[in-house]
Amino acid sequence: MNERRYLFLDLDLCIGCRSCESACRSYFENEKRITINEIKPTVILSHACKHCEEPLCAAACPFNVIKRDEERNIVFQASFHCVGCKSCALACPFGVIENSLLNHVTQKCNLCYQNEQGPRCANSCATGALKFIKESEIEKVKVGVRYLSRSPYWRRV
Amino acid sequence: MVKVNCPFCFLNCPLTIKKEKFKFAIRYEGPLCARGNALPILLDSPKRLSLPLFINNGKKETRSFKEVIKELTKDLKTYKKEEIAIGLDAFLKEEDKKKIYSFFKSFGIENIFSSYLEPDIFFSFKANGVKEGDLEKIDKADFILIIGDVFGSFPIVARRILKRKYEDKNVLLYGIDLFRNRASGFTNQFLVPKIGTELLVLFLILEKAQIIKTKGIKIEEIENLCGINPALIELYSEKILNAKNGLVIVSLENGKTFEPILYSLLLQTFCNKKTNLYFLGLKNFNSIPLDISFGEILEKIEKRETKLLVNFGNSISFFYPQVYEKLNKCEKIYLTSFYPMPLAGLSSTYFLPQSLPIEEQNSIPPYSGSRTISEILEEINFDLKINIQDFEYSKEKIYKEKDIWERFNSYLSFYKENKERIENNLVVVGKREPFYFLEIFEKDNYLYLNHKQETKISLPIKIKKELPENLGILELENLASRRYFPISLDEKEKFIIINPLILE
Repeated sequence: MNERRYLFLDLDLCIGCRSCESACRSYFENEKRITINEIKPTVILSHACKHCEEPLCAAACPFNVIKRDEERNIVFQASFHCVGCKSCALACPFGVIENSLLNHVTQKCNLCYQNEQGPRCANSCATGALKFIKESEIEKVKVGVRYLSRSPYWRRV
Repeated sequence: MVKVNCPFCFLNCPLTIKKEKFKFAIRYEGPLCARGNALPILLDSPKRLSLPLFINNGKKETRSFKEVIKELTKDLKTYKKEEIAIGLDAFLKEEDKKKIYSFFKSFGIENIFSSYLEPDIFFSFKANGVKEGDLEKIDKADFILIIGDVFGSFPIVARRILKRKYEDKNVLLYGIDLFRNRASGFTNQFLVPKIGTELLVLFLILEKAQIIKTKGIKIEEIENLCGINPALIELYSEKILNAKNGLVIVSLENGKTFEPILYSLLLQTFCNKKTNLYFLGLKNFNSIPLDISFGEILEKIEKRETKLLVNFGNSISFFYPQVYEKLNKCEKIYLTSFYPMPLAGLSSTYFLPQSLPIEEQNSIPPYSGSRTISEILEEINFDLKINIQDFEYSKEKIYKEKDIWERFNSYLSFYKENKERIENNLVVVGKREPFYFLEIFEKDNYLYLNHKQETKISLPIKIKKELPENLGILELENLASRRYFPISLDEKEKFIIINPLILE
């Protein structure tokens, strides 16, 4: 079994340029699966499906369309059977499944598992804040320990 | 799979375009900004222009490409050379620009102008003795001064700046902008001048650092006008003087200042021989102030001296009502464009579908019906049979120190006269974001951001039907989304300048 990989956001590098959103939107025909949250006007962070261990969206789906693929470590949606009831969007505790329909189907991030290069959002990230990394590499990444500045919009988390 | 360079800014990031299941997709060769990522949408957008259009007093008719080229060559022969003007807008490759310039110069046309209206064109106006830097300088800089929304407009440059910042704790990051932009969260110090006073603040920093010698300007008066803490000015001037390997990085894309020419020139003065600073102006398109300015052409059109106008590139400048109201006095207009423009008010105007700079016959085929610049020129030359010679154009204009201070003095008197109006009426909202995704539009006398989310900006506005003389509306594809820009003509350079937003 391949080592698990995670979509990882380095908060010290994210400048909210919306490059990830744009990459996702341009591939999935204007319906993005990654959202940008404005915490403060100057602190804008990207926000996508967490691919939970116990996904509530999958539990809420009345047609078992959303499933967890343990091998790839993703929660994916078999869009063909989706009826667009939006139960998953309501159940998601992070609000990352958009409550809008495209072709009568809700849109959910599947980490671009069909793309050999990996998730498009991570590949396109302008500052390298969004990474698609292996489980063993997570501890090596320094997050929130880099000093930033004296500005009132100090970003350490 | 075709390897291309992103056409949306001077960085020209490399990327590979591939066709996947009847649509275009990007294969990544490195990071890309939001605009670069939107490229596939543009390549196969059904909204693109595929047939030439003829607009006459609001009526639209489609024409064949041959018909329009035939009409254009006939007009080029009929009109006198001095009655013809050729414009070069954004989205033209450097080689295409040279081709167009040489072609029409060889034909004997002198009125070749730049119709690109974004303020970053003013980086071509150079202060005498400025030391110009490049992106490599970021990697060794010990002091970086960020002017404007560099992080928002050029995230790829932001990546390099942040890398430098995290590499070395002693690197200082200072910023100046009219609002707390995205870079402000990362800077050691960020200065936000009141709108309209940004030029005065730059002057004070220059004066405090003794980079310039001023005569006849009362410093105390300017300090009072700015209302900025003098300690902050002192701090900035001290850091500028102490920098051993400094860099001033400027983006003039978003926060539109009153006097972009002067703004750029003052910042370049920071980087003269008295300091160890280099100047790096971030451009979207490599635009140059060609032989004659857009403003002069408009004046010529008003006097009926210019009767035929041909524009290559995006032709977005012709959206501005003040521009196209004047264009109505032009007898015939030919514009190349990617999209059918809603220019209902125009008469005798032809739209030619133009391919994107990355679209070529042997790589990504041009969008159905569109032509590359080479193809258009070839077709025109089929009839005209011009012997094309190579012509070089001047790429910059040098400003002497005396001229800069002359401009500064006239700005100072303008500010004093209009202080109240500037403070009360002007708000910067005209932020250009990755296109299509974030748009400003007006509904029930409120400004909104983004069509879908309809985020209301707490900014009630009243839109007058009869707009004041200096105010223009840029109508986008959807009539509900409009952008409001005041446009002014720079008296000396005759350049059209888009200023901060006026809301009444």
